[in-house]
Amino acid sequence: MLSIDGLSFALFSTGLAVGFGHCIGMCGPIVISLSLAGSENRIGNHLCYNIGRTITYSVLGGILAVTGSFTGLFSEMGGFQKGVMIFSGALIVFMGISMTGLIPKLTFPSDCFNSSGGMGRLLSKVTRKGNALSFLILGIVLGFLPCGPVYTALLSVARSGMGASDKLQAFFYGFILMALFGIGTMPALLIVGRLSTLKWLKSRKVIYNIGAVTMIGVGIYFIYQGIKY
Amino acid sequence: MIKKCYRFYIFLLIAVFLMAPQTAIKAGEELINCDIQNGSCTKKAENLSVTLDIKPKPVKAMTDLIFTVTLTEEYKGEVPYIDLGMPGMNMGQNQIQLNRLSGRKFEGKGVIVRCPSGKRIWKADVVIPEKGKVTFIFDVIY
Repeated sequence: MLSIDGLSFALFSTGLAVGFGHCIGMCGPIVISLSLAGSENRIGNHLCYNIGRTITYSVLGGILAVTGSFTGLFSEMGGFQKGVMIFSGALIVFMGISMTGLIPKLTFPSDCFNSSGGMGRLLSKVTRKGNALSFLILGIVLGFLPCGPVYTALLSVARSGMGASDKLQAFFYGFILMALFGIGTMPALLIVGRLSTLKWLKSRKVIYNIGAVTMIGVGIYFIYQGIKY
Repeated sequence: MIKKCYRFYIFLLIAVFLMAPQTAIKAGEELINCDIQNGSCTKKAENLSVTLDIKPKPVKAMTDLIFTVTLTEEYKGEVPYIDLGMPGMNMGQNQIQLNRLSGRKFEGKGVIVRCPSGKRIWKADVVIPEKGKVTFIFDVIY
């Protein structure tokens, strides 16, 4: 078994590696949705979303390091995770529909970053610049999304608690280890968030519509997988 | 202009990543070489036959599983271990440390995690230090 130092490095580098592969594929649509909903302070919002996600991973890591029972925890959480997956799918579909402009009340105004009506007004309330807390909370909730690499990291962390002298130390170990994993996954999703502002796409209607349809498809796929989960 | 093209290609790249899980599922199904749900599987590593069994059956994700590795002949080297992963997708390191039950038999506990993409094809690399590794690719029930 790896030492805590060795595990710290292993989990951080695993986070970095899966971030640029698995996470872009699985969480990319969510990040793109957040980009669409965001206001001027988009990087700050994405950072808050990622911090929220990492907080969830860290708390789960702490709990698992204390209990040591991976299967016990996730057998209890299955239903909740299913709900989170369906919710995230619905969010992506919602954003995709708003991009197509097919339903006027759900359509972004001419400048989607200067929301003044319908869907834009609703989203700007939730995600406006001063409301980074919304992104943090969204990150905390979506941190519960079922995710293979997160499970794998949590498995390692569950074993790490055995080396701790008491439960508090075990929680601390688990918390820090999963925080490092979460931080490792951040660069990839921040880059996707930065590149997917889509402001440049608005002048290219065809590409913009392809993006919208892709997002609706991905959202439906998320909902379908969530129902099956 | 270059900047605009660059952004377009990044967009395409993201689209490709979104399609990656489905492509990986198809690739995995073609690679299956072990019917773990109905018994153990045997593969060759150099001049050594390696048998892998996973219990309880059916082999389900997100449950505690016992992995047993049996060799055809006595092995006194470093204890073998198993690396679990998915063909074509980085799921992070999920390593199962085995304990020696006898000169030929090793056992360890582990969990195969569940991938929300719906992909059910997993691989177990049984690594026998000094002898090499054998790869078992099988279907897991979610």
